Parts: sequence; C-alpha cells; structure tokens
Amino acid sequence: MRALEILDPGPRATVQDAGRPGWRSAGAPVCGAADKTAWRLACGLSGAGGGAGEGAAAIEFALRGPVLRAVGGAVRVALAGAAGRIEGADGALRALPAFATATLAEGETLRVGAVEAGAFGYLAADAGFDLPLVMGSRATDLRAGYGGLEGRSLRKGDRLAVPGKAPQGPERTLTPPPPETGPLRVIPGPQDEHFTPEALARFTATDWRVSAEVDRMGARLQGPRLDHTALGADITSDGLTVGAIQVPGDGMPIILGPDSHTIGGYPKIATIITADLSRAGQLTPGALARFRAVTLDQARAAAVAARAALDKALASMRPFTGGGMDLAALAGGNLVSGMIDAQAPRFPGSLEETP
Amino acid sequence: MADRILPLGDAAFTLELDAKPAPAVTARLLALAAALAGRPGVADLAPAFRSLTVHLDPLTADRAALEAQALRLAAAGDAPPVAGRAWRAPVCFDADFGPDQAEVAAETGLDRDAILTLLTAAPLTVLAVGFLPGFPFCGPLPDALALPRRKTPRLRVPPGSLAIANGFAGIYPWESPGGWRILGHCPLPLFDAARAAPALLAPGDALRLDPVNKAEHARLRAALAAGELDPETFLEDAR
Repeated sequence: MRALEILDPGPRATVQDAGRPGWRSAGAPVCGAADKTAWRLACGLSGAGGGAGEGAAAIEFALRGPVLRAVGGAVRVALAGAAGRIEGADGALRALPAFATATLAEGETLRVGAVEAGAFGYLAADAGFDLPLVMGSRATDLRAGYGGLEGRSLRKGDRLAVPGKAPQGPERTLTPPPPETGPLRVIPGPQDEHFTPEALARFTATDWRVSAEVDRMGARLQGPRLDHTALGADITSDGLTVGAIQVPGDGMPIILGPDSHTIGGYPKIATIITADLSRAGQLTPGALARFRAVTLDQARAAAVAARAALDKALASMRPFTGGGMDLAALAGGNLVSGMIDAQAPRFPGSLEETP
Repeated sequence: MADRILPLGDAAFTLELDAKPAPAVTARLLALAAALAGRPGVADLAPAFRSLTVHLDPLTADRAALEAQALRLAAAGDAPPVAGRAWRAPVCFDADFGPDQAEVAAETGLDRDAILTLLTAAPLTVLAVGFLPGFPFCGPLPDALALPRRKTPRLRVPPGSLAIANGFAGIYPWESPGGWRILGHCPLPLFDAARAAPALLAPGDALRLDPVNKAEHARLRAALAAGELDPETFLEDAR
C-alpha cells in the first residue's frame, strides 16, 4: 500500500482528526486537532474530507513540520499553516506553499518548514490515513495511549498507509479565512461567582502572557493574580470542555486544550466561544492573549460567521498553477529547522492535575 | 440554592443539582442524562457527582429549550431511575501493593486490619468517571477514612492501584502521577478502548471491594491480562 514514511517527525507530530466526542462519561478526553479550521482546510485540499462524520485524519505538527517520503506509490499531500520543499528523485526542488497541494511521486521527499503563525500546522494526504478507528476517531490520545498511530507521537521510520490511488487532476490551492484579530471572546462562567469583582474586571482588562507551560492539555497564562471569593478555589468537580478557563489557587488562568481532563475541581471563570477555539489552539509561549465577554447571542452570530468563513475558504478551492521552482520560498528562513527545537512546548504532563 | 444552569461556553451547559454528591444524586443524574440523550443538537452528556454537563452543537441546538427541559426534568424528579451494575472488585491488600497503609494507619489512628475492614465493608457507588479515562471516583467512604491527598503527589502511581483521598476511593486505570493514598491493587482492566463500553465501571455502578490473597491476585491478574477471564465475571449477579 502507498504510505508516507516519516524521516524526521519534527518536535512533535501526532495524528489528529475532528476528535472523539461522546465518551466524556467514560472519562475519555475529546482530543482532535487543536486548530480545527486549519485541519479542515488541509483535509479539504488534499481530498481527505473532514466534514461532519467524515473523520479524516491528518498529521498535526508542533512548531515545525515533519520530513517524509512517499513510498509504494504517489501520494497527494496538502499543507495548512506551514510551507514545504519537495526533493525529487533527480535532486530537483519544488516549493509547496501553505494551503496548496502537491503530489509526491514515489521516492520523493517533502520537508515541511516552520509553522508560520502559532503552534500547529497540518499535513493531510489525499485519502486520509489507513488507521483504525478507536471509539469512533483516529485522534491520538497521548496520555491514555490509544488512537492515531499506536497512541503515540510519530517517530522516524513510521509509515502512515494511505488507501487507494493518488487522485488525477490539477493540484489545488485555496484562500484561507483572513486571520482573526482582537480579544478571544468568552462566555463568563460557569463559576464566575467564585471570583471577586476586581478579579472579573482584571480578567478582561489584562494582556495575558502565555507561559512556557503549553501543551495539548492546556496553556497556562501569566498576569495579575485573579483572587477567589470566600467560595474558594475548590469546587465539586464538574464537566470541562475545550476552551474553558480554570483558575486554581495560585490565581493564574489555564486555557484547557483538546487533551484536557473531562472533569475538574478548579473554578472556571469563563469559556472561549467555539468561533475562537482555533485561534486559542494556536497560542504559543510568549504570545499575548486578551479576553472579551460576549453574550450567547453574540457567540451564536460568531459561530455562524466562522462557519461561513470556513465554507467560503473551501469554496475558493481552485487549480494550483504556482508550483515548481520558487527560489524565494526555497531559500526562506522558515525551512531552517535547527532554531525551532529549543522552544518546543512541553508535552503531556506539564499541566497534569493529580486526583 | 436551587438546581441551576451554569453556562460552559456556547457549546455546553452544566445542570447543577442542589445536592451533595451521593449515590442517589448520581442515579438522578443518570436518569436526566437518559431523558436528554438523543435530543436534537445534543452531542454528549457527562454526569459528575452532582452535575450533568450537556454538550451541544452551537449551530443547530435549541439551547434555551434544552436548558429549560433539563431544569424541568430535574424539578419533576420523575424520570425512571437508571440502575447501574453491581461489581465485586478483587483487591490484594498485601503490603507490597499498599505503600501508604502505614501512613493511613498513623493518620487515622486505626490499625491496618480495622482500615481494611472498614474499606471492604463499605458499599461504594461510582459517583463519577474522569481525571483519566475509566478512573472511577467511588464513595461514600466511612468518615474514619476521610483523609486529604498526600502533601507530595507521587510522580508514578502504578496502574491498578486502589487508593483513597478526600472521602473517595479510586482505582488508577493507567500509570499516572497521583496524590491519593495507595492501599492495594485491583487487577480488573478498567479501560479498554476496543470494548463496546471502554470504561468497565460507569457512574451509578455499585462496587464492593473483595480482598484476595497474593496468589489468587496473581492468578486473576494473569488471566485478566491474557484475556482468559472476562471482567464481567466480577459482576455480582454473575456469581
């Protein structure tokens, strides 16, 4: 069978898809792509799909992409959030920009560069990856050790099989949605009553600095302390979700990520709305984050707008004629990998709560 | 206080009952979850101790109607109760598996035998599953065994460890950091993603700890690990 063989996985690469909802009562986190928008665009471009129920899996890479080679046949790949360089068997180089596809002939190597903005980029293959569904999903759960490829991050020598044959027809590109700016929008609660009025005001008035403690479980922020009221910093554990912002006793907020626990005992001051989760999933150490409270009606309007922007981006798909030699891209600093590894985020465990 | 709805972003809300965690409260939550399951736009239902978190599709769900319905069902209290299953969990309390037995004895003022007698006589109910996939929070524990977590959590708690803290007993399905007091080892495979129901124990299940000696524990552990023994053999009504 055709496959992508990993020659170098980069700082951290896992297989992710739309995630594994429906199992929270069993304590299983949803996992899935940290940036669903970029993941969906990569899958749409490559032909792997990824719409509701399709569950296409892609490689999610942190900070810098993998180096991989097509074996056993040609594979069409698409990149979101990073560009790459293809080395042909004859030594010829081709550039693969972000949000475009290229077909790797058998034996050709793709070297993916640094993530252009944020923490994660995505690489999708034309027919997805031939990996078993675990509880309805191919998303990797690194802590529990299932899903994806053997429940772990990708290693040198791994082969991700791609079913079927490479598609015919022209390569494709699309125009991604314009980058969102402005504060991350939140719905206050569920435990905003655990915070003093000063803390609530401070929460939305502060430019929070993302600490070095960032992983798929969450991102710990640094800023002024958010004081709890007499209700305290412990609650009877209740349900968590991606984007919930919990504040333990030290007063520093933590944005929960896709691999976070399903229940937790710290008060949650607010929860990021669905429309802004992709952006929140891209926070890197040192970045600034600000929050703005919105109503449920505003959140709904934002969700509709975000969906329309995604649909518009997918509808902008068109033949890609810009391939071939691109000396600027080939010489681009974003393919220099050595400097990136030093800032690799810490991965599972750094935000682990102990029961 | 009253039952209330707490917003958890635009894609979930939590129904919090005006009640303290207890087996009867878990049974109410399960009945509510069963009544709400399958409603349009509901993506997942997660009960925990005294609350039920309803995850929904923000684009298609009629959130206001679901919230109103959840409150109405909670107030009516007439949803048919959902019965869990009853388990007899084999646990070996050999000192090798219970590194915190001495510490618990010192802090409770009870001797080891008294601790184990209290623990194994307690009718436990799974009040929530979480923290790790398949990790059961079981209670209530007798007050005499109510201890906080260890001051310094262990970096590695072995899988299968039976431990207590904060008035609960739990069993670690995976190796994990953890601060609970480890008293024994249970060989049951608590989570298997390949099973139709991956978590062996579900909220609402009843649990009794059944002490087994080291030889029996080793035999059960090997047979369960090899798949030669069905974990459902340990259902009370399977005896």
